[in-house]
Amino acid sequence: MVIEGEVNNDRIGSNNDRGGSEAPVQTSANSDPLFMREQISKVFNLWSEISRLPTVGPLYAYSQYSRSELTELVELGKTILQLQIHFSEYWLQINNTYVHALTKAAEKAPKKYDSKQDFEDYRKAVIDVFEDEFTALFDSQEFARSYSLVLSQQLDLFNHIQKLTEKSLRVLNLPTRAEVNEMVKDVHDLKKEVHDLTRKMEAIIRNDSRNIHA
Amino acid sequence: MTQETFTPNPTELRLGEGHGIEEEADTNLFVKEFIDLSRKLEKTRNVLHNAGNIEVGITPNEIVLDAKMYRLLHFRPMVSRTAKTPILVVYALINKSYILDLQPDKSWIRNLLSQGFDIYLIDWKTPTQVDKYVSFDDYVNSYIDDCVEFVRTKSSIDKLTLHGYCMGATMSVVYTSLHQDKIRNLATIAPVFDAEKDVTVLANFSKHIDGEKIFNSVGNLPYEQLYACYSALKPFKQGVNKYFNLVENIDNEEFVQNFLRIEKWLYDTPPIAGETFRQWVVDIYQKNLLAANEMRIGNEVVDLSKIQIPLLNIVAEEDHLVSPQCSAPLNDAVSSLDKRLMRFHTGHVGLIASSYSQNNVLPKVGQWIKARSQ
Repeated sequence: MVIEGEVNNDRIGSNNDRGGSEAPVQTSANSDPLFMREQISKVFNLWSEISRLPTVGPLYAYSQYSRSELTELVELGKTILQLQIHFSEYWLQINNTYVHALTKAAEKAPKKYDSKQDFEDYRKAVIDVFEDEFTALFDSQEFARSYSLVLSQQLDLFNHIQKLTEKSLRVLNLPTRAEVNEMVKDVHDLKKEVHDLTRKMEAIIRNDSRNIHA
Repeated sequence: MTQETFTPNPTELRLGEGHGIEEEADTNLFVKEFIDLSRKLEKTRNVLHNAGNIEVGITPNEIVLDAKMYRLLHFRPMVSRTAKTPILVVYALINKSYILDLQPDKSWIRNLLSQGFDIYLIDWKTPTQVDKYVSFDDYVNSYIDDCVEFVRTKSSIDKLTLHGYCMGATMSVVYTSLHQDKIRNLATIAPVFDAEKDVTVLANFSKHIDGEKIFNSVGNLPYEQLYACYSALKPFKQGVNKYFNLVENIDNEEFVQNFLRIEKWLYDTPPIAGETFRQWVVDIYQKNLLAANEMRIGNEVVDLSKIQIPLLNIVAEEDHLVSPQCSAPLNDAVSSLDKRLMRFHTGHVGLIASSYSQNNVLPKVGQWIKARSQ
């Protein structure tokens, strides 16, 4: 309503600009190109106002709904990019370690493979080299941080997809994850309370029976 | 053949001249070995494809309690007179409890039974999404306490021996600090205690991951995440080499059966309840609250200096899951006068399910507990 009022005011203002009569407008339009430009600008402004109309009511609700989906999609895109960056760093560390281990293993390769034992010895040497290199990598804080970031981004991705799916499935009238969580928490708390009450009751019964026997 | 392929140096070729018979013999040996390897590979493939139901946990037992999150097993005594104080074994939340009873000749449980103990074991069930809010408080103050109460009532005794492994050892320590009046002895195997001193890959990962986010995003810790961590533990010596060893030993029935049992256990991984995992990672690994006597369980703060009962702490020097530096300080944190730290040169699983453990670890553990169980 307020906006309509504003629009009406604009309209009144426009009429005032035009001097409150139709005829002079026509005359001015024909004679002054600047005037035409002003009118076009006013029309655009008016449409802009109209497009801002639905701040309440169903139109606004729908626009908000699609806007939140759009935000979620944008966030999903950002997370995918972040995940790609961190995943590249993660794989880079693994790849570097692999290449390093491979180089070391190549240095340990025997000159001759005369018997099965030679193969066996080389296999053991390769296993040792790879073990040392990769254990050093997994022991490093740098790799643990990388792993943690990749995991964190994967969870973010999972959350965005979950939120988007939840919105799409709203039509099925299913409870949301937050609602399910609330129920699960309540069930957990209730179970605990029942458990504690049962234990207290058992203790009372035990004491009572002891008193009776005494 | 090998000289032709790998030593093209003409001088070396001349050195080989006149040894045609030996060369032929070498070639025959090589071909023979290759054929044997192919046969072994084929047999390995068949063994793995037709492994079927692998028997584990066969020591006779009875389910005496069956709740939503656990089963309490009571093992049939193997000797006519058992020690007065029963043992309640608290297994970890990682993988399944049958590692303690993997096969008759490597069974921790069976060995203790043969030494004359009355044994109960808490076998944790797999948590579902409904159990995401199950916390340390529930495990300690509800589930373990229920089992302790059951054993006390059934055995008509006031106190029992609490015996935990890995994460189960940590829970046993926490339980003892809160309910010491019900426990006669505490025997821990590789407990996670002072996480700041833990130098394992697992600890490195645990100190960096976002436990809160995992809890809020997926609830329970999915088993895939545990596999990802496992694959980083001795990835080649154990992860890759064990399959080479399997092929090599495929004709050894005992080796193959042992391999299959361990493999079954390794990949029988349930998820971990979300809130419990969050506390495990954030409170124990990242904030080291247990060692600082600041960990909160329910409405109480866990103060290990309150523990005054006899303590036996068993650690493995080559443990790559819980380093001995992380477990050993438990002995300094308690106020017990009767406390002992036993160190063994083996690994985390070797400590409980190996011939080494049967011959070296269990006799000493049994002796220590027996002396305090009459």
